[in-house]
Amino acid sequence: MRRKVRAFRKKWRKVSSAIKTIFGMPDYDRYLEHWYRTHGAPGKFPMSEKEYYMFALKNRYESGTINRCC
Amino acid sequence: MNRKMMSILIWAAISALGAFGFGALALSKGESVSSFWLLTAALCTYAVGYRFYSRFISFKILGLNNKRATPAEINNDGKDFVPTNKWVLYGHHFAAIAGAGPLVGPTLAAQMGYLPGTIWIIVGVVLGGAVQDYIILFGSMRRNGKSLGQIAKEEIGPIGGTLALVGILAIMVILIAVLALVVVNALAESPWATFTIFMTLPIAIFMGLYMRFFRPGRVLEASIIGIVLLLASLVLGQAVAASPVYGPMFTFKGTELAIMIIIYGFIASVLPVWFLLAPRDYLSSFLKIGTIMLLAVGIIITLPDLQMPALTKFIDGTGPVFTGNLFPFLFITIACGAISGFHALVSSGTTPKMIIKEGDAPLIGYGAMLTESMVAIMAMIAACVLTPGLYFAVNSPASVIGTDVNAAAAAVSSMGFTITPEMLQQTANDVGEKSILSRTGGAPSFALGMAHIFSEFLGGKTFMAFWYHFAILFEAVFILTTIDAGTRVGRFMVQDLLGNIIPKMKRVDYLPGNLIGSAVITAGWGYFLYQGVVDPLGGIKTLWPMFGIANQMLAVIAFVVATTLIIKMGKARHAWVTIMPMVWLASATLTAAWQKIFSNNPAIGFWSHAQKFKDIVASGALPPGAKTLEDAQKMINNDIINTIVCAIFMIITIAILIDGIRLWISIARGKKYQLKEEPFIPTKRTEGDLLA
Repeated sequence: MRRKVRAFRKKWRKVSSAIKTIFGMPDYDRYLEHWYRTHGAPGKFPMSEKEYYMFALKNRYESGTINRCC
Repeated sequence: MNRKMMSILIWAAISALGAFGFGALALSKGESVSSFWLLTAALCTYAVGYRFYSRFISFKILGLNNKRATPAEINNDGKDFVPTNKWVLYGHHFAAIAGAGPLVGPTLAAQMGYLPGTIWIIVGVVLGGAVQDYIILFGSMRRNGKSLGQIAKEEIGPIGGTLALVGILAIMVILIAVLALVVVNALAESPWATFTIFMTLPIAIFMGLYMRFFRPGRVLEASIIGIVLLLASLVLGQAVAASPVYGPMFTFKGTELAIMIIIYGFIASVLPVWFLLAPRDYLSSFLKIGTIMLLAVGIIITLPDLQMPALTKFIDGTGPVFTGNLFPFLFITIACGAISGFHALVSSGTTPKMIIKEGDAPLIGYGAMLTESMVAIMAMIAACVLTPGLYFAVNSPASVIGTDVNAAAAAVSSMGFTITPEMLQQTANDVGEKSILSRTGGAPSFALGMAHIFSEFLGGKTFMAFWYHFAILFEAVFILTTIDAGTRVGRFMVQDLLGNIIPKMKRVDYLPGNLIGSAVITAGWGYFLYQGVVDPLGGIKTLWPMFGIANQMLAVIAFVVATTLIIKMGKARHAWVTIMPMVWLASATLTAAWQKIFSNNPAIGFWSHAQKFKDIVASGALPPGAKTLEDAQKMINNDIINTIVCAIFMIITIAILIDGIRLWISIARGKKYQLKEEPFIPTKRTEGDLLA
């Protein structure tokens, strides 16, 4: 049962990550994974979910790039 | 060997089926034809185009190389440069390029019958639109995700780059104005639709607060709550519209709605993004993809018959929806879905920074555009399942058909499309509206078609009103998102331009810069929107061709850039791939712009229209639609401004062509130019990744 739940969770995370990428939404799990892979060091901490959310929005909507069409 | 034979047989069969589909469409004599043949012709042509033409471009011209590291791999920063699975990225790219454009253009073009528009959508995308999107995506991918303007500047020269920038700003203004006009025409005098759209504001703000404070970053949760609330307000809207107290509160004239949208656009551009823009974007994204999928299912299940003839008499240019001959006006009326220059901006945006390997590019660049073309085909089907008389009653301006059902039925019947006043009134009652006459702009007509298709398999006639307003909601929500986002991007462009004089203005978080930039861009599109709303000829008739001209001008710029890339890559003998659509578009755009300015027919030419009005005023009378001398003067001024805008588009198109051709000739004469690609870096992905 527990294994099933874990497998389901894993699958859901994949699906939700895909949905978030398709619509250009912030994906905190992906950020954390990337952060620990590349920046992880003692004494350094990643952004909180809230900080990351605000950062990602700014990056998408305030950079002046055109990311949608008519 | 056996497999090869099999493949040849299968592709021959697909080609034959597609040709048969076209045959069935073209040869239908009088009787209605099933939309099955439209879908067949489209899908088979797309399949052949994708399998053969995109592969030809990939290997004979661009030289895709899976061993070359992509920007996503090299810069992988977890922010912009994120290696992404190709199917997810295909979805991302499609969600970015698909908007209201492919729904409006084909609807308007249906006045000439289903055949001309359909052929242009299918042939145009395979040989033009998908090629443009793909090659620009590729060019940007080889240049670390640079934008179209930057590529133009580096590969063609500073003139080309500046022209591209001016062109982009101009098209933003016209695009937002015309889309806002579509919303105004759909909401005017319709309390149900207006209430539902008003409700999106508190819903989006609630979502924004939710994602910022209650459950930070939980975007999917908030989106689901938002969509449930949205559907609830759609249901509630019916009761609100019927209520004698609240109904009139949400009933507005076009001019009032226009002013509200202008104020809204300004405020949305000034406010922080988490408050309104981002949550609205999420809401509209889900609604957009969900509805498109639902519509596809609906069409496939019901396979409705097309009521519109293959060709109508309006191919002679006298149609009530838009005026002008099949060439050039069909080819600028349908831009998105066949070729949309705007896509070149999106293809050189976020997508190229996320590609894992070069081999994924055709699916994303070429494939996503084919999918958008399919959306345009669905819009064509939705327009053509309506009785032609109904279609013309909805899409013709009031100056042609009058303002009550009796006059409209008589006017439309005299065009040769029989309809009775009772049928018009019945349709309005069925969808829960007071009137469906002269709801120009394509959205109401599309909504009627969608309601027609859905009511055949979900809920029957009782649900028709619900589906109609669902479709209006869906179009209006994502158009409003485009207005938000477009105004903001336009604001950054204005701030950037002003920053050349006062450096401080460039800063996004500088409040005076924010306010001035927002005001300038909102005033720009607001002017055209208001002019369109009060235009007695129906503003869509004026604005949509201008948008089409602007969009195809941008496509010409993109093809000049693409041709330059191909020639500089040493593949000049294959440059016909981009030169062919470029020449076609340039001639359509320039002819259209020329006729819009100089045509002697006041229904087409701005100049002769202004002259006609001046003559009327000089003779001591007022032109139709004007109540005061001031009104008449304003109309004449609008014509002059529209003339100037069309002239600017023409000049940009000609200048970029000259700039490009100058460069190509000098290359042909043996002068060497460096291709400004990033250097080759071999991929570090292992063989296993390569196969994945």
